[in-house]
Amino acid sequence: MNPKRRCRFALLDNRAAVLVAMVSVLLSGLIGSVAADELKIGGTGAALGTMRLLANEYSAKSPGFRIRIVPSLGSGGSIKAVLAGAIDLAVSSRPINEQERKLGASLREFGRTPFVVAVAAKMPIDTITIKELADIYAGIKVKWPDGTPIRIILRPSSDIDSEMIRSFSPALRQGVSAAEARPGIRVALNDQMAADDLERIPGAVGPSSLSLLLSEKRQLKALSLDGVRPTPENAASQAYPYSKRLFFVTGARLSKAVESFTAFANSPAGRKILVANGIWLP
Amino acid sequence: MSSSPSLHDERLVLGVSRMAGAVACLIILVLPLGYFFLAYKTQAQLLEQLTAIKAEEISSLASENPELWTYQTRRIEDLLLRHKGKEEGQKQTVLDANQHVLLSLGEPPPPPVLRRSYPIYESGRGVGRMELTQSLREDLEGTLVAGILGLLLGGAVYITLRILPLRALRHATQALLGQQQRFVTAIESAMDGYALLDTQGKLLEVNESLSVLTGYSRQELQSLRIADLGAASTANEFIARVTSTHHGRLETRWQRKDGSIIDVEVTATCQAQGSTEIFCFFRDITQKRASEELIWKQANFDMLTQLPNRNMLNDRLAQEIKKSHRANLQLALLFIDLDHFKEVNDTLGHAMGDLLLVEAGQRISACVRETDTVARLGGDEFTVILAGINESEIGTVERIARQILEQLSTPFSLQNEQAQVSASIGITLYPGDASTIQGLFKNADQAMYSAKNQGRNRYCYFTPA
Repeated sequence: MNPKRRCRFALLDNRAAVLVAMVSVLLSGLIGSVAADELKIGGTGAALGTMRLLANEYSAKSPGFRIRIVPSLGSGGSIKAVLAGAIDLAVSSRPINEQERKLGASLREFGRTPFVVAVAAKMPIDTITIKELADIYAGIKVKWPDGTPIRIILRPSSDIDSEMIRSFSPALRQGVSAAEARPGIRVALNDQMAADDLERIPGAVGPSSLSLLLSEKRQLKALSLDGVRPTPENAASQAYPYSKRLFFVTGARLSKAVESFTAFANSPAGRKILVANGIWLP
Repeated sequence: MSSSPSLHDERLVLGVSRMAGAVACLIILVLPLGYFFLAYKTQAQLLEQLTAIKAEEISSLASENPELWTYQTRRIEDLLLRHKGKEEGQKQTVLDANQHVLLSLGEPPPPPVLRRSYPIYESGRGVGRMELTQSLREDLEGTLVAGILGLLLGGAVYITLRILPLRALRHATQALLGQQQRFVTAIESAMDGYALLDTQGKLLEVNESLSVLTGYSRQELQSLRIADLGAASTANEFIARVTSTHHGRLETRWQRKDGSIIDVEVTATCQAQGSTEIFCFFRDITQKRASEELIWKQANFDMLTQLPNRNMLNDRLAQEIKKSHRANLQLALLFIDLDHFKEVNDTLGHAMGDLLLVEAGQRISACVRETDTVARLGGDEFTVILAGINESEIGTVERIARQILEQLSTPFSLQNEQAQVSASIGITLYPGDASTIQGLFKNADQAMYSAKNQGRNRYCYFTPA
């Protein structure tokens, strides 16, 4: 990390500390009023681990307050669920659409995390080029330098991760289509399944997000792309141009518990957790 | 001669047509029905399997998130799209436990449709249903194509099955008719008569030559039996023999319609045991037989006197020797030479001499029994065989010899001339004098010369020297 960026983060930390102190005073009152509530949070797998950490921290500071992180619903599923009142707070990696807005959905971006190409932590590789990645997806490059066969982990074609990979380059767009057409390529339905596959399957490579890798302490590593490491700093500076936006989505009826939790996430304590898990605040 | 019935039997044509039609109909029906049945069965099985697979995957999703799986429609959609089936004309519907549609992919397929559903389970409880609906229109279109193909194939099969056998039949028929025609032509142009008989001898078919041979018209012949043309017993016996041995040959005598008699050679063939038809050919052998008789007569008889010649005499003498030997009887051989015959020839001419020889033969024949043989050996020499003589009848020989001498010494009236001859007779007996033909002739000749030497007009017995 260059010194300029480090300085910017340091400034951010100072501000956060002040904010945490102020918000904690405010929250103590709020938490007291929602102590008996249960907050059900669901959404994109990229942020569930971070939400779990936030929830733990929040619950520790507010005894009796119960937060339940439901298994990955995906962005769309969680927005549906929150609009239906099945969950209280949705965590989405995409903005709401017009129809969802009309149904009463509202959103607030709480951070961004680098979208990464991940491999198992034990793999003797740290960097990859976009061209190499395109060759991998196209089936041209089939082995890692150590001779391990390369095994692509795909996401569903309509998933935002697939679309992001395609956006890397025109060659990768074609490569992804070619990979989707090849038989026997594993398709992970959600972020956690993809991370599981990347950890478990030898030579596996696929999309993930830095927040997931860090918050869930996955035995995975994010590869540098064209020599640029996928750090929040590089992402924030656009040196690493691929990142996921993360939103809190709430329904028409906003509970105090939700307000309290989102406020905590936005508090210095919450932001500290976010930043520590690969999420930077735009 | 009547023609055989045509082999191009209408019933056969009808039978072949029906068989070809049945096979063609079978193909026309089986091809589209079989196609539809297989296509439907295959589609139903595939759809059922696909529905089950998709339902199982959604069940997994539901198990991971039992309370909220119904909101993961995007992931359900991803799941459904992972197992691509027949996308066009297929509708995929996911329903929750209350039968509310959670997700519906694809347009409603055009009818008729095939629908399969499979439950979505979560911890053993049914929490929804996966339903796949697929159009059978393509199968029906395929069935239509199969039907058209079946129609074409059926038509081709019908044509093949009907035309080829009938063409072969027609060729065979034409070949047979050709053979028949050739047979008819051969039969009709034959010089010999032809008839097809039944086992009763009735004439079923006849040719023109038979009509000419018998003098009867064809129609008349076909109302007759072969026995009506000649000796009935001979004909019936012949028919029976041919029926049992399959062939036969007969020479018989027929009476023609005009009453004239002809000799006929019949050759008959019966195809096989149990056959009711006999093929007969008839040849007029009247002239042939007359020629044969003439030749035989010329070979065995003296043309002048019509008496047996030396050839016949030898034959009869051999037979009489055998008979006498068997019966233990005797025979006498008389060698007769006319005396002074040369003078008759010289004075009256050979024609008169010939007349004398003829009458001399008649006179000698008149002296002997019917069973005896009188032969002319040539010139003025005659020979008589007196056979079947026992001991008590030996005097008969001398009596006949004297009678012959008497008859031959009687003057001959030859037209307007008179001629006088006598005879010298040599007599030898079998088996007393000799037992062979040569011996008997030699003895008789010797005895005849003895009679000549003794003054002619007498007979002498052979006496051994």
